[in-house]
Amino acid sequence: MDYAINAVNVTKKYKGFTLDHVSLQLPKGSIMGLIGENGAGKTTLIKLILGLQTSQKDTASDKKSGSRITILNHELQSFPTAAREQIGVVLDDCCFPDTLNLVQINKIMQNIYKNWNPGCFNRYGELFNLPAKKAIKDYSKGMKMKLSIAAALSHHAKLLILDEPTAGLDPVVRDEILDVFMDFIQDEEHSILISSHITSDLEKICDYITFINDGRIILSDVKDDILSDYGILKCTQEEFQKIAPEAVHGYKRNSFGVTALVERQKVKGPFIIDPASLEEILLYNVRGK
Amino acid sequence: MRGIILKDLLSLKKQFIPMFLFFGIYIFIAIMTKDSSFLTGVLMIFCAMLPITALSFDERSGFSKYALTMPISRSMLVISKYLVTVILISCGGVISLLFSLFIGSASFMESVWSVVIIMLLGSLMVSVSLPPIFKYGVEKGRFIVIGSIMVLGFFGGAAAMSVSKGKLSTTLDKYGILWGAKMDAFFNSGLSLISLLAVSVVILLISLSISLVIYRKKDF
Repeated sequence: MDYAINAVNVTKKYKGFTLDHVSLQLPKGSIMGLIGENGAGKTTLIKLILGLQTSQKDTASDKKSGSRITILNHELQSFPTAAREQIGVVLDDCCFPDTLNLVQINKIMQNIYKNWNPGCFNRYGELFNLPAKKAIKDYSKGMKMKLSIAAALSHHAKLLILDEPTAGLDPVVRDEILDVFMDFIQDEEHSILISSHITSDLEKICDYITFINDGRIILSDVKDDILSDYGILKCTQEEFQKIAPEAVHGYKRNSFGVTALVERQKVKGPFIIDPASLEEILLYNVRGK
Repeated sequence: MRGIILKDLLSLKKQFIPMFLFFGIYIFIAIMTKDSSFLTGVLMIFCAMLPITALSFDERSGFSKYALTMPISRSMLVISKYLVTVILISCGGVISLLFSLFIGSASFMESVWSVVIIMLLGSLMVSVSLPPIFKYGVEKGRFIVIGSIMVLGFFGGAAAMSVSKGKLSTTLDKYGILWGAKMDAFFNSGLSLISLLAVSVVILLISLSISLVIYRKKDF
């Protein structure tokens, strides 16, 4: 399979946190959602993929396991600066100096990207209702996010890497932006890696989902497979004892009995298993016992 | 490269407006006293401060990490800050020289000297400030620069005094000849002007290479 991003055994150590041998494969032409709680390592992983941080120097064991990151068929270490034209990025905050306005940003970006399309940027500006002459410092949080998205989409990128792009936006605008992403992905050469806390957004648009918790990938698969493989089982305490422990990925006790996230295939017996949402899968994996 | 320099100049645009008002006062003083050297000093300090202000804008908005996701290399980002410094200080120099020639009562060579020396001080200020700022950020970097200059000044002075056994003089050399007489000879030579310019270019290049090494290893 041809991958837009292929990160293998990536490790980054901080004081009190380690992103531990993380692997992530985003096939070309698809959208992958990165889900995890605050501090799970989503932004660190995205920064490592973008080369903003360097991963831990290869130890002997890493060399054996082949720690490396490849983006659009280029090794990250030797990633040509010009090839960054093909990557559109939205980071967790709006990164333009706040004294600038939309017209000035259009001019600046025209001088940075060879493929910059000023007309396209203006169209997104109009679509997102961004005032052209207003300084960014007077923009709302949502407007700043929309500006970052407009910039990421205006230079004919093939890969979008988006860190919490829908955070702080109202449901109507979020829906609008998800439609823009869906339009972008119609080209089979295009791919998106998107991290978000808003799991309902990811459920709407993603083909693949990767759950990350405490610096480790706990699950990474096709979204539909995850949703069909996992379910929420409600039963009494006695019934719960009879379920194979390897089928249970987390459970909560309440006054009525037990609610558990289970793998459907591994549960034997006449139990009713309700569909699980991505949010429930995350919550039971992280908070469930 | 053009894009990031344009970004720095455009983001500094709003800084220029209060600057012009401020300079109005100094231009008035310069016209009244027929001496523009004070104006030159203020203008140049302002020009040397602007690249650091641009860096503080970048730091506040997180632009540097964003720029590195664009077709801009780490080296280009560092070099652009030095180029902005050279552009601003050169513009400041030309403007100061024009003022000095039209307002001041000094001769052409005197004007050139005063502008060049202040330009060199400006570029020295930026050369010393930028590497620690790239390493530690604008806030911490400024304190480190001020702190290290104070420490160097104190120990440098103490060392000079101890070497000269407390007889260090700023007006006479060890043979009792006035420093001022030597200074005249120094300032009359075109060679010293060129050497000073060369020294400041070398200092700027050393500072640039230190910043490049720092930035290459930096995590965002």
